[in-house]
Amino acid sequence: MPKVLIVEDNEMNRDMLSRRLARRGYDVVMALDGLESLKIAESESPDIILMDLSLPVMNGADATRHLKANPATSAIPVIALTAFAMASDRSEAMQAGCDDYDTKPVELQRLIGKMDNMLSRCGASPVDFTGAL
Amino acid sequence: MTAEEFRFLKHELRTPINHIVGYSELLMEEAQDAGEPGMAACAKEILANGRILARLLERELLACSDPSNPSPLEALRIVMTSVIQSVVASCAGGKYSEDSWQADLGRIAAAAHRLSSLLDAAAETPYLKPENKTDGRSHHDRTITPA
Repeated sequence: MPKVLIVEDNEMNRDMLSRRLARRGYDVVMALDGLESLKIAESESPDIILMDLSLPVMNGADATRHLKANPATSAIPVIALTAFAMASDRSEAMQAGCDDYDTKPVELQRLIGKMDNMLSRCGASPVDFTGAL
Repeated sequence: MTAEEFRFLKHELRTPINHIVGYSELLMEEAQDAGEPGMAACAKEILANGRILARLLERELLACSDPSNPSPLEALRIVMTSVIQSVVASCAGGKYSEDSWQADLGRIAAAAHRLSSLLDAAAETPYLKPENKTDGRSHHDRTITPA
């Protein structure tokens, strides 16, 4: 079962996304800001990270730079999630080292498609979607 | 409105719409699994309205960047208000067996009220200023309490 780290400061966004992914068989862990995500990424070794870009303490782009600079976490794929949805946001996310980018409101099927694509590339097994429901 | 102000506004308005869409999708999935057609139908209706709000935001907000428009957010507020009211009415429309569903309907209603409050405030003062999140891009300097 793939482990997903959701980095999100908005309580409702966190609640929604974690419940929807858990329903589909993902093991979900959470961090509330960029700095906390660095600690949890090291301690929990998630298979993939969903990173909000606008975060307190340390923003998502900076957190991603730290994650990618750390040999212990550099291989974990990071998908940036943001409600900003401007072309420059995608560019900023990719320059920071994010492996992919998606916008909020989250289209879950699209996001899961991106997650499974990343997980397959990294050798982790995507969730058996039909069996998970 | 500058590009940066436009960005802030779009982000602020998209967040409650994201909550409406996300929770209604979640409710629909859970209700279908539980064999509760009434809850599923209610959630489907809210979801449809949430998607309308998302489309309206994308379409109407473009007009807000027109510097010749003296009240750029008024049109957005007008077209969204009836849809927001429909969402709130759906949330109040019935009693359902699962306490968690009632809680989620409450969250959707709160998001709808927040969107309404944001639109009201933004229409009065459309130029937003960033608060001090670490990237300096999110949240503005007005605290708006949901109705």
